Amino acid sequence: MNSHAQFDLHPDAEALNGFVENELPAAERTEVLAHMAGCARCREVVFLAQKAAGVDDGPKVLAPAAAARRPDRPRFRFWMWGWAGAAAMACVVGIALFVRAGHNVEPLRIAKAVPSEAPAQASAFHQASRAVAKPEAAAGKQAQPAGAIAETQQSEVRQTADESAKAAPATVSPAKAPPQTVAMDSLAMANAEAKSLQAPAVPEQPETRAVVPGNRMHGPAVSQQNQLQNFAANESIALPPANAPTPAGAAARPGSVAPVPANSSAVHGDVAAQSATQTVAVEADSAKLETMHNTQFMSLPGGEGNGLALKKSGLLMLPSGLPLVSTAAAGTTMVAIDAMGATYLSHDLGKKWEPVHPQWTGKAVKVRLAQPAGQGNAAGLLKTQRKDKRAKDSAAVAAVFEIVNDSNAVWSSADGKAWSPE
Amino acid sequence: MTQSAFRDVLQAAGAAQNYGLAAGAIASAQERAAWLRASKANDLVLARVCAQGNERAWEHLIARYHEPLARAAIAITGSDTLGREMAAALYAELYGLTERDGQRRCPLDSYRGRGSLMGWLRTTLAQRHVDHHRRTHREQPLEDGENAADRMVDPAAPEPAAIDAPADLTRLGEAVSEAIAARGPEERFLLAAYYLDDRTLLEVARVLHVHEATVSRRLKRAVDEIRKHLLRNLQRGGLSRRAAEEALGADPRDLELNWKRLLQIPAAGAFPGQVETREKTER
Repeated sequence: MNSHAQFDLHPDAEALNGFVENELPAAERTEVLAHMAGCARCREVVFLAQKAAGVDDGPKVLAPAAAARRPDRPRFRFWMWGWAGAAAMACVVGIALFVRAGHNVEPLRIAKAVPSEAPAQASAFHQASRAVAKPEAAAGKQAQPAGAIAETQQSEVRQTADESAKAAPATVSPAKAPPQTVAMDSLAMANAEAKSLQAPAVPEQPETRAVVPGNRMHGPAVSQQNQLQNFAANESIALPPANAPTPAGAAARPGSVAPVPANSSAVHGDVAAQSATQTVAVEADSAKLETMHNTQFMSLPGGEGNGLALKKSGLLMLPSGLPLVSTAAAGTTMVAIDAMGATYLSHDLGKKWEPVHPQWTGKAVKVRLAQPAGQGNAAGLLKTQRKDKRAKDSAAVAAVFEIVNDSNAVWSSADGKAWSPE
Repeated sequence: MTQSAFRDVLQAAGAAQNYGLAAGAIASAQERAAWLRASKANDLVLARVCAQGNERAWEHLIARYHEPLARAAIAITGSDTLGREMAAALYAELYGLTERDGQRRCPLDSYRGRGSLMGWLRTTLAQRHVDHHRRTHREQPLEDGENAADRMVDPAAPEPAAIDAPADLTRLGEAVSEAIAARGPEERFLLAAYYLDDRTLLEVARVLHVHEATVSRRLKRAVDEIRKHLLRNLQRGGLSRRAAEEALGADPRDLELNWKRLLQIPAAGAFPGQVETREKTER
């Protein structure tokens, strides 16, 4: 193969330079191309000239290129704007999440705290109970001594609340405790002889405070609170005011009512039984209601005051539409007296009421439970009831309702319908 | 330089080239104006005045092009010493130290102003370098034609099959000649630059003032077309398709083909101002 043939005639430097600089007419360019296709020498010349031109024009080419990169600055700026936008979006999202989390804190805390506090409350109450059961160990520290009177006065209640507030703070965290109400249906079923029950509930909200007579309520809970206060006035129950001071505020005012610790879940029950004073563990069962109505604190007389009934009375009006002043429950049977002395009986824990024909003289002002002889102490019975539901039912059956009229005469009934004087 | 002298130089240059028209044609005023607008008038006048031996023009030429020319020479030769030596030799040649038939001969007279004077100088340097290289490196040709020819025939061809029959080789050579001759000048230039000279796509693209991708696409299309053309020609010559494909795998070194002549169309006309530069290596 002969690949080294050369041609005699070559384009001159003018034509080749015109080709390199793309200055040739199309026809002449084609001729040059056709020649260079078979002429290695001219191809070499052209490529070398192009190479030299690239080197010589390098700075001139690079300079415009560098200048052309300047418009890239907007791209950089755009890039920075992109980051700025992303940062702004992140801030907005973060704020939104923060705000949303702030809105969600309260419901979540309430929803979670209610079920989780019950055992703690019970355990705290058991501690208090044990302390009361051992007066020598608990004197001056815990709740009322064993000789506490059943019909506890409000001042005593406050004192007890204060003491419990002193005893409990170290073991509670104010922020988590949901409002608790002393559920006393089990107590009522168990301890018919209990005379009073002191139940410092667990206020959660800062505005919760211990009851101050004559305090004023605001908002939708006023009527209900008035009912409760009326009930408390008759039954020696301490109710929480609507705008209780914080513990710190109370400490600053020595004369003020001692605040209840925010999460004081311990319930002190000074129960004056017929034979002996007993401390009864009371199990909270209605935190939800308390959360809704800010009924943070109440102290009810032992067997007569039924927490559930009281709760029901706060929510459900009696058929007469009058405030509830006294109630007692045994199992699912509940007897209630309204402000006019009308008595009502319910077999479904206050869902449906039926009037009780007055079989007593005067005006009924109070209803309570009287435990038949040989029933045993309330605390032991309550523990038994917790373990055995049937025992609870049997205790309910054995309970006897007593109605006290305005002249302190007592009528009793086993079923709430037929009443006989004692 | 006076304005009248400048005008006279331009008119002389235009008349020498007949204003870019064919010989014998009379250029109109518009054609003259078009030629003047298309030409590099300043460079053209400078070249003419330098060719006439004007000292101030030479001073201006050296002051303006000394360094760029040295850089171009260094880039072409790849050596600073050789480059500056070659640039100095070009200055001497341009100055007209060489005489032919008792006449001072200045290469600047061949500059017609179609491209820049600097480009013309670079191209002249490249020509001198290539000619010098061919004179001094006779045994080492610039292109490795044989190896490149292997790829040019069919780069994607399978293992070459031994074709013992000279008739097949002859038939294959004829088919290749027809296939390459059927391609256009630009495709043949692409094939030669890429496969014979081993130029890169970027180098070819810069010479043709197109993008690399364009060169690659045109190359692929050219190779595919040549392959189809070869197969067609071989089958037309009596070979089956399989035999034709096997024939494409023949060793190109077995083909007695002058690739240069195949790639260059013999009918290519004379270039304007074509210079007879019979290669001394041919002698």
